[in-house]
Amino acid sequence: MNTIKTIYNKEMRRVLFDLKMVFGLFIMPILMMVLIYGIMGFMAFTMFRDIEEHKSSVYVYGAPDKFIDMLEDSDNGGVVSKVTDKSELDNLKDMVIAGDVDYIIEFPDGFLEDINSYKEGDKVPQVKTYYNPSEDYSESAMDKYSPLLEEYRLDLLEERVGTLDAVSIFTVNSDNDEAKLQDDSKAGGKMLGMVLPYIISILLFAGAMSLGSDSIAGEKERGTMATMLVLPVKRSHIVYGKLLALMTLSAMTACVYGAGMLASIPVATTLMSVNGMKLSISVVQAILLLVLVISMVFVYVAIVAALSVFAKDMKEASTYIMPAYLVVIISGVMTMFRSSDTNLFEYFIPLYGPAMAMRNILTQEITNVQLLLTIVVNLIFGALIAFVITKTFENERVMLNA
Amino acid sequence: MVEVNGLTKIYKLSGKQKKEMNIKDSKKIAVDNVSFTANEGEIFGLLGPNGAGKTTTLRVISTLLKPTAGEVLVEGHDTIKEAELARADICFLTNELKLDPKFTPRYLFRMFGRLHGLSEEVIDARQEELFNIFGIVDFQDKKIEELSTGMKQKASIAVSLVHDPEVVIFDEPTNGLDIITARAVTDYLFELKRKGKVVIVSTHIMSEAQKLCDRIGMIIGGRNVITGTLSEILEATNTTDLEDAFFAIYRTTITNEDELRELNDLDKQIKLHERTDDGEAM
Repeated sequence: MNTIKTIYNKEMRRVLFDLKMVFGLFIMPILMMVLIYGIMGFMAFTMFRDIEEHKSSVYVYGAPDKFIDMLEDSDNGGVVSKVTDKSELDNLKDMVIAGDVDYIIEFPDGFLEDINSYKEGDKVPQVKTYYNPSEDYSESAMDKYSPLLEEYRLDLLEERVGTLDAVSIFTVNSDNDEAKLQDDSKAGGKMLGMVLPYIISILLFAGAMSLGSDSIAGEKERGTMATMLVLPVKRSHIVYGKLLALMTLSAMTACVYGAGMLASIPVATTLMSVNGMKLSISVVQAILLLVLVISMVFVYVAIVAALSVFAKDMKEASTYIMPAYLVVIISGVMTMFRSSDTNLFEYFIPLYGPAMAMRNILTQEITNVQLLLTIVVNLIFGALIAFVITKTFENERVMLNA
Repeated sequence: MVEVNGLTKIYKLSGKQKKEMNIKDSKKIAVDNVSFTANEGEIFGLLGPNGAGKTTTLRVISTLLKPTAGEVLVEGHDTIKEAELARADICFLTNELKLDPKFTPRYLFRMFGRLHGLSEEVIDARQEELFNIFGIVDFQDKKIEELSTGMKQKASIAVSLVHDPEVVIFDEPTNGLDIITARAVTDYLFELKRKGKVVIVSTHIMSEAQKLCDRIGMIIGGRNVITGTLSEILEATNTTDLEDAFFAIYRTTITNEDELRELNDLDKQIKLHERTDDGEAM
């Protein structure tokens, strides 16, 4: 027990007393996150403000005076220009494509006459509009000005039939404020459940990867592993001490990343402008996540350590670890496109099962059986790998390249 | 006491290793049926050219490698069946075993003391003694990566001796050291011998072996070609110093034609050189 503790302390000290390591593992990622979110937030804010401040250029052809008045009276702040020559329209359409004009509304010739002389069976006149969906200004102009057409249509309808009640027959949700019956936190959870399992898995593994390859392959490369192997201690104790320290350090990096992400949720909410969704995690979810993450850290650290044992140096270790990293990434991506209706057997699959379970915790759909199964599978899988590492530590060919 | 009985170590070579060594055989006999005994209160020297199997022999004694055949007993403990007990009695110092560059000599000394199961008081006393002998106190709190080669070697020796082992195995102990540090190391080996420890050193420097060792085992091509005191070896080879004795034996043992040709060429060059020197003297 003392041996494990001494090895554990040594491994912890090696990382935590090294300013470069501490900076690289704990401070740098936070700085990166703040920087990335900061820049994203600033850019998005500037973009929204720019679109909002932009004066839309709207061209109207053949519109009745009343509609022109409606356009000019609206508080959309755009510049409305009347087109008198129909042949100009083609030119204007090209300008919409080029992004120089935002919106065109084209009324047919003799529009009001047709409306006024309408008899049952006549062809209904058609108003055409043109916008460019790949131009932000144009799309925003369409959003702002197209409702005015509907308003004008209802005006004309009212003129024709006297009162609208007779023709509307029924309304949909005209005064129903509760039409949206979503559980806001569950909707937010779905959003988080899409992204977080992927990000957490990758960050956890990345942390374990840099620490694990240094602690094992790095020790072999530096020649300090052999120094440990001539000590009168059980090889398994060296392995346990190292694995425990790696788990602690990886969990610490995960906590730092997690805290960074939680802190950035308000920014993310603004950025994604998710209507009414609550991007937050409850205490119960946090505890379940923590338990799951600890068992995942165990597996990740064990995998990284096992692959590092077989490598002569850190460079070789990273070559061996990369495929495992890809599997972790793919598992994370797969959970993004998997419906919540899952089979229990999926939780037996190492690496993939935990990512699924993590998603289900966030969407509040996890069952006790799923969670327990995932953790037990993680522990058994991790323990098996730890056993293999211990056995490999006895192998002179692997440990000393003999 | 260290008893090596019929020790054989065969390495299996990977394709890459075969290519690197430029050999076709997938096996390499590093040590071939070597036997010797190193006793308390004596310095036993393993002497031989590079690649003769000295380091492999020492690695087997220190339990890092398992023998392919034969057995090694350290203070009566079999290095395979009772590896941990054997390791508890051993200190093994070799170039390949390094100290972590991120730590200080003091931290490493205390950590290794704890891993040897020593109490804090015993570690204190050992630190005081060894750090003074090797003059480590001045740089005990500097990181290993900041130390010079000599300082590193001194720290390595002190750390490896923390548990006051009965068997001290030094592989090329003065290799790369300046003359003052080298002297401090050889002096300490005499001190260990005086204390009744079993000391085994390997070296390819004949003069060092001649000065240091009570008994010598000469290893050539993995085989133990002769074992005895200096005078026994000189008598058996009918020579006057260890270097001549070595070449006398070397000539009779090597079978490889290339090596033999190389040796003859070397002889010719030496004779030519001697003649020129004589000419100049006249």
